[in-house]
Amino acid sequence: MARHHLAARALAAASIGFLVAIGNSSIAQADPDTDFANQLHTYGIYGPKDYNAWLGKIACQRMSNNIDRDAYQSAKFVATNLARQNTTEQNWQFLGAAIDFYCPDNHATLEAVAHAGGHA
Amino acid sequence: MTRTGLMAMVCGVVAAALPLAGPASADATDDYPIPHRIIITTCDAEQYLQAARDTSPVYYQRYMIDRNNRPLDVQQQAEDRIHWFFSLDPIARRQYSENTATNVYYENVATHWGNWAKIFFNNKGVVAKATDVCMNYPKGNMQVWDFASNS
Repeated sequence: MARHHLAARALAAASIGFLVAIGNSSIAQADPDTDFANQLHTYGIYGPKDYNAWLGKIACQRMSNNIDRDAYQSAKFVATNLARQNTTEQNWQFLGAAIDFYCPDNHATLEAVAHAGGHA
Repeated sequence: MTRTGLMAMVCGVVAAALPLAGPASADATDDYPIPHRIIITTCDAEQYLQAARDTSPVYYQRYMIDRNNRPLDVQQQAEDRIHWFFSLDPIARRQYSENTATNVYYENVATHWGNWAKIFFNNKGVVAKATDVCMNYPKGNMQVWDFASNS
């Protein structure tokens, strides 16, 4: 009987360990490119996930490298390389999301335009 | 129609079609292997590359990443070779296109790096978009070859 109890407790402990392992795996973070794509969908921007993610990262690199010297140039770059039927607003939303996800350090670039009250 | 008549007709059709088949031709065309717009553009290599960076950024990145994975001497050979190509007039460029189409060993740089001119030659859409605007970029801007500061 005692042996039976021991076996049952060992089995229960193993089961708990197994459940904890499953639980931990389920809370793994989604990858940022998927989150970025989901954010774009809320703006009505679709298209290949990998392409959009790469474009967002390139937009960030161009800002860091001063290829695009302000947010207007960044927005123009984005507009050139997204679907033509996108609105100007969607292009700016893409840029804003790209900065949020891939280069939050560049928020100042967007804010400079907002403070200037300019429009693309 | 009699069986004999039918056979005669089939033979006639086959006989008419055979001369058209001929051996496959490996000649270049005005768009292959080098797109016509690259043959006639007056931009230099750097103007074109800057334009491609902005109009086909992912394609540019792939090319530059591939380039960065080559030995430095091969990178330099590719750069020198494309400068040479852009120094040619359209007739000579068309001849070069013919030479590379008909002789797989003609282009020596390609034996070291098969895709050495991919961004310049391989995609008509990329070429079309870049040659539309390349004249608006500064000539001879060698900085565009530096991927780290141009991505």
